[in-house]
Amino acid sequence: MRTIWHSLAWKEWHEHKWKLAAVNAVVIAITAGMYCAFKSPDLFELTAAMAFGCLIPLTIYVAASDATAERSRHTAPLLAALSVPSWKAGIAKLVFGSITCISPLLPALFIVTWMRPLPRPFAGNLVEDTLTFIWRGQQLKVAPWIWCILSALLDASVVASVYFWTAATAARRKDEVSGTAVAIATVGSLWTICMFVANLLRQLALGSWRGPAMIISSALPGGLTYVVTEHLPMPILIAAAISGISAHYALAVWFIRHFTSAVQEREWPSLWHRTHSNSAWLAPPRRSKFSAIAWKQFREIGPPLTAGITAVTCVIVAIVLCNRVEYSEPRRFLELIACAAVYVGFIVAITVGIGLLLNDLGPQLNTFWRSRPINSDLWFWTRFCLVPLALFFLTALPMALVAWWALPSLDEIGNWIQPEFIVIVSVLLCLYASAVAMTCLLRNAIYAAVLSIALLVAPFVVLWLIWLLVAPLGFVPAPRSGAMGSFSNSAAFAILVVTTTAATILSWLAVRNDWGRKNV
Amino acid sequence: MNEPAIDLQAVYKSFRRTEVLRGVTLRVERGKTFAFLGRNAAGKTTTIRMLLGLLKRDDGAIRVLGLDPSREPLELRRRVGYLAEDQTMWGWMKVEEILRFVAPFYPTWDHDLALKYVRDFELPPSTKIKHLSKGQNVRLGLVLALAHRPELVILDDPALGLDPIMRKQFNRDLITHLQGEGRTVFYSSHLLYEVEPVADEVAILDQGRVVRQADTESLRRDVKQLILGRDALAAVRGDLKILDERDDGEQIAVVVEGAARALDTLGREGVEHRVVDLNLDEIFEAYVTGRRDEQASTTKPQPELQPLP
Repeated sequence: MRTIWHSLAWKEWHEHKWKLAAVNAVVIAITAGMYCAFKSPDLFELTAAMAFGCLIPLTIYVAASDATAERSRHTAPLLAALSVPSWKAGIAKLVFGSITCISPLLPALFIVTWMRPLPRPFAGNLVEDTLTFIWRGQQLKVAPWIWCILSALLDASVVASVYFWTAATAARRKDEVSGTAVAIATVGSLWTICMFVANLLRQLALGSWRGPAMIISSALPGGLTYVVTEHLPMPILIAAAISGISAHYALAVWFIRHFTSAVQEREWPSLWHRTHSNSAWLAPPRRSKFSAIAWKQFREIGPPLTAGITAVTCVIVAIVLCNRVEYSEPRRFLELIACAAVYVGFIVAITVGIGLLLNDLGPQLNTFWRSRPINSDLWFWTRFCLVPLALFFLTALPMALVAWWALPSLDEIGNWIQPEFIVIVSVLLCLYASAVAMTCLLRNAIYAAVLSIALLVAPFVVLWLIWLLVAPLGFVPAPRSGAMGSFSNSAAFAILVVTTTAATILSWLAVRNDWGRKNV
Repeated sequence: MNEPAIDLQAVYKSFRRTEVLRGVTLRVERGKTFAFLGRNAAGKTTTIRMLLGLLKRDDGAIRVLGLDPSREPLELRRRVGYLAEDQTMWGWMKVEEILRFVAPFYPTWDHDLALKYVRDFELPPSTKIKHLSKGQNVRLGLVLALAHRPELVILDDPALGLDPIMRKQFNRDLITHLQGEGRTVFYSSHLLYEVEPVADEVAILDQGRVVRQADTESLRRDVKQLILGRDALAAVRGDLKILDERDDGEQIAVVVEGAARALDTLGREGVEHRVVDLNLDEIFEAYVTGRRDEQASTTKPQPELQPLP
């Protein structure tokens, strides 16, 4: 006989199976690609780059989607009406979501480990003959399969921790986009505070506070990672482990409680307003169609944009503090800010790209605005063009200002801007356009997030494969690096412009003709 | 102006292999309140979406206010007010904000009229839409559909989900604000008692076909229930157009179309009978259920349900 848990597991499996497949495909493909082209000879750095560069953003999207999906799909009343306690549904969601995010780690690490004896085509061979694992500040030589499992466990603790933090912070939100925005802002702020405190203790030489700081940091997003790689006395390590486990248990309880209350919450009619309904006047209408659409756009994009600005600021501060960058090294400072802008801008570009039209293309609102005399071209282009402007102010403008401050002459600024600045901005724009296109066609936040990353990378991979096939014919020299590293800045820029243009046209046509999945 | 407000000629529409509309022909005169009746999934919403240019027809011709919806959708939507079934609006907007937001898209928007409706319908302007009750939500939808003084108002099951008191109140609002001003109203519903007091004319849609279109009074006169003996029915069956047939103890109750002609026939044959007047609800049931019974014997059996997971 089937139990409630069987039914909940069946439901969550069907809701997560394609997310699981997509996350696995993206992470394993990117890890294999990075193995071939990643410049560092250190396998540990490679896995860290894989986890932080690819899996953490995907984890944030999956967790925000899990926490908010029942409300955004309007299935919460159905779930609340079932003879199943909502907290059980919350637990099932938490378990399946965590497994979805953790699942690519072991296969990805196995691939990297067993590819290790093979020559790396574009990055030179790995330096180490034996695999090492950092444990309490010491490098331990271990067998490949042990290395694999230990690294997977360490990365899994990071991923699970980020998943729990995101799910807990997004549990009260009503849609994936605002859930992601709040999670990014929270995780970013906490990491910054952590870095700030650690740096302060270091500067003030307060060594005795290091232990308590570690105990607290194990409760933050990332969990025990900080602790196991540092050399700490065993009592501190145990205390940190207890702190980390208790904090994440508390987060799980928080998520389940708030998920339960969010599912059972009814939209309350405003009794107070009913008795005060006779207004003397209405403010005048918006002056034009454009100003009406622009007003709506800025009201909707406010939360993810604010979260993005918070996150960029936090990550810049964290990087500066963590790396002890002196202001006397302006070029290095500039590079760090560019990295921060790219990393956070990467997540923000996808989030605002998804948020741009996701709600308006939902089955109910889609009918509402399309049945008004609203020109779909004006609707699309006004909204599509306003967001890159906001993104520019969020990421590119701070970089430009720092460049102006940091670089001594206009010539140097020009030299820096041409190769780096333009490609960074192009990557963000391309991601944004890809996210909009995927949202218009799929009308599902999580699939749009995963596939927009694939759409950014795909043209580089395809062209690189063609290049590899054509090179033996002698018309062109063989590529010098992996798919993402072989192209010059100008070639990369051209590829990004073409991809952006194609994605933009696809989005416009999808909105104009109401193309895309309708059964969401 | 003799041009009808809505004119559909042999309109067909399919979604993949499912044929939703099969040669729908309709004509709605200006100034009338037209009830478009049909069961769930009969094709009412598909027809309305085509009237607004939201869907393209596969075949046939559609003119709304003299315009082709697929060619001039924006011009058409400026002149039409539309309230969808279970209409969803942006929950984060306040009542006042959505009125200000929608206004610039309508050249004929009357903000004073919008304010009047807001007061008449007792809507709270500074409340967010997500905090409105179901009834307030429907009334706000009605304000958005009426404040630009449309020539034609299309209502797609607008009272769906409202309690009986709210539905009566909604119909009262409808009569006050639309019929009083002589506007054309195209009112789709599957709740017959709801439209009976307000409709001038009725069309019944069943399985993608219009099975009857007539003004309400003519329809009531034309469709009656006759109660007569079984043997008597066997004798006159060929002369009656029977919509529905049910056992009534020793006798049999038949619903017939063309009641006057049927009564003539029964009188001529000297058949003893009793006549029962029907309300719109019963007439609709006779057209729709009667046909369903006919088809039930010819349709394939439904596939079995999958076992529970």
